[in-house]
Amino acid sequence: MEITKKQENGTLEIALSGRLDTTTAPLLEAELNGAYTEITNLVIDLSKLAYISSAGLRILLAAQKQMSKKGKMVIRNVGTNVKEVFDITGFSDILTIEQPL
Amino acid sequence: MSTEKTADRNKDKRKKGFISIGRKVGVSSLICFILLMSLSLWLLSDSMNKVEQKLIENWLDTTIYLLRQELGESEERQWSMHDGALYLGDTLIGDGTKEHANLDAFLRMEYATGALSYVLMRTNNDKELQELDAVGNKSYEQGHYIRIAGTTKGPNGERLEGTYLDKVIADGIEKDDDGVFIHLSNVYGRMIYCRYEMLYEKGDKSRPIGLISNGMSEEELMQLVKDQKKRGYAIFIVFLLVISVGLGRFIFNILRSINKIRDRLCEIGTGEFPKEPLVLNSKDEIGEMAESVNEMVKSLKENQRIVAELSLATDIQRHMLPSEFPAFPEYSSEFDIYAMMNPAKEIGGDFYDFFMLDNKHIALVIADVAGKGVPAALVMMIAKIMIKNQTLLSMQPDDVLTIVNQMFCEDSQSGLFVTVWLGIFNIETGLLTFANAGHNPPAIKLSGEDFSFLRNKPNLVLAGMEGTRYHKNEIIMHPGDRLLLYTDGVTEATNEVTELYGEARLKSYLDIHAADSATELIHGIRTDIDRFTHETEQFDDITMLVFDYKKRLESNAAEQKFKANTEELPQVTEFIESELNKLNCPVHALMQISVAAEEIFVNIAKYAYGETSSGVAISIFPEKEGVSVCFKDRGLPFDPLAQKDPDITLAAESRQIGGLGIFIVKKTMDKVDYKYTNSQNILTITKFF
Repeated sequence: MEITKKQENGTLEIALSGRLDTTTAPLLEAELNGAYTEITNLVIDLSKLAYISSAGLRILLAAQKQMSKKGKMVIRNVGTNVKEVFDITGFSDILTIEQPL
Repeated sequence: MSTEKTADRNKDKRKKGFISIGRKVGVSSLICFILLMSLSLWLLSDSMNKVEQKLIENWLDTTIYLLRQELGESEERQWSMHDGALYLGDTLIGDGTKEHANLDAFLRMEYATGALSYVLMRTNNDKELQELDAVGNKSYEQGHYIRIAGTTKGPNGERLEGTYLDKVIADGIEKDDDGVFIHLSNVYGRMIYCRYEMLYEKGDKSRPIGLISNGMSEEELMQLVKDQKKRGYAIFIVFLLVISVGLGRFIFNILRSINKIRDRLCEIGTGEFPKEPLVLNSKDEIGEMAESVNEMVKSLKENQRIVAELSLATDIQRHMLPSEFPAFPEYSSEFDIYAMMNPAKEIGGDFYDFFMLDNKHIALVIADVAGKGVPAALVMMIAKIMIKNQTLLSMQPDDVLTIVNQMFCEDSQSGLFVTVWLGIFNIETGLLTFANAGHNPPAIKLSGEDFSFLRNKPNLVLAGMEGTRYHKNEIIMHPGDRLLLYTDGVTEATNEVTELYGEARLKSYLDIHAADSATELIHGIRTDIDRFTHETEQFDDITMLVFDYKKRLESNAAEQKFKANTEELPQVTEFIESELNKLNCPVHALMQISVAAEEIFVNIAKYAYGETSSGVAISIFPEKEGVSVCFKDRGLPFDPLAQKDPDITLAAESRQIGGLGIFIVKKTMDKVDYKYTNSQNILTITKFF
């Protein structure tokens, strides 16, 4: 998995590509844990994320919980496979997902 | 074996009281011969006595006739008398004087026949008679006859001339209408048979002019008659002998021929066929009989050859059916197979077959050719070979039957059709693909349930109609499942009250004996059928094949072991994705399976072994339009499916992260199955495409 990030004015934009699974989830977790204190706005672009497992969901849920306390979190451009996992698990309801029209 | 020995043995085998035809004919012929001989001789001797007198008369008659010939009597030369002398034509025969007696013809006759003969002239000449009287010693009377020529012998053999005839005799002759008289008279102490014939003047019966006479002593005549009789007997006996010998030879030949035929038949009876044909030189019924025997030997030889070839054909047929069990020892833990065929006649039309198509597919065939005997067996062999060849080529049972049917319809003129059930079983996945050409529904036992019949609608029989398309059916078998293929010889076995064995009895037997091995089961059913039919003759071939699926084949290619450690995840993912790609898994399903596999693997890695780390075996096998992935570990027994599903309706703040992975698995997979056997957690997920 590749993580691309851009941080300015308390907004962190992260773009994920590849697989967010048990192996790669800790990388994202570490990235986010280091940023929570400085940001109020978290945007995660999943347009290039092909794969997500429950390990990834765990990170997203934790992130959602953190950001709910001090700002907001938006998920953008969710691919079909990932969207399906979100739908199955009810994550579509608890995450703020912005899809391109 | 030589003919003599055969004949000897047959003599030994003869029943008490045997009497040969030869002896019968011999004895009866002998009796007949003796009777016939006696009768003939008696008749002959009787008639001989009767003809004795006749013989004498004939002899005398003949000699007088010859004498007349000798004298030269004819139409032109007739007897006449003038001037006291007797003439024949112009020739003077005699006038009673010695000088004029013409003796030559009489002497020649006497010389030729031994008979004495003379001619007498009727005379009234007393002088002559007196002269004669002086010579002879008899009185005479007028109007009687004087001997004028001829030969007569006296008691000492002297030739007498000029004798005259006794009046008694003369009167007798003249009174006799025929002018012929035979008289036995004593001439000088010898009894002489004499024959007299009247001579008339130029044939005029009213004018007797003389007598011609001949005679022979009774003694000599009897000798002649005796000789004649002897000749008669001799001829008769020779005739009889010739007939007897001929008849005997004839009967002997017939008997010899009959014996030859008898010996030949006995030889044939022992089962040994003579190389040389039986040759009898008789063109009669016996000759025909020998010909028939030769023909019989020919056709018996032919029959023997056919019987031998038929038994060879039976052997070939028997060997065509795989009959070594266990048939596939290398697969002994995966499946067991057992089959039998009991033909109703020597050679049957049923067959079964099974063969591996590759290292994980086995073909199972059962078929029944309509009809029995050699024609059915020939069709059976062709069907068996064609089905096997086509199955090895195409591996799709519907295609196989479609093609084989086409080939049959193109070539077969026999009108024999074939019912076939053809299944191809995947030992890895348990997928059974089958097609049915008019065959009985196989019985199947699935997932621990009772037996049922695979009643998918069958297609038409093979060789039934050109262009028939056969359909494919699929069913998944699991380890522990059992399949029985059989022919209608099983369900249509009939008892003495014409009840059929039937599917119900078969199913009941199968259910009760579910624990039997394949071999025990088949022999058990066979015994059960025999018990049912009791003493009714088996009229159809009985053929059965049992297939026991014991264990999935674990293919090396699709199974890999991993350490139960999350660090192994990339390898697990790579293995699964590459295997799924091989199976042409759609991208979406691939992603779902990949996620599910990760969840399960991570679950095992995290929880199964506690502190100690061990392995996970992952195997992938194709399903009917899908795929299954199996995870096996020897960790603590743990059924992830038994865990409570997370509440996905809660708000983010309240959500627990645990249990989500297995939840995703359950939601995205079509089937998730957990088992704990042999100290193994076995979790199988199945996804259909």
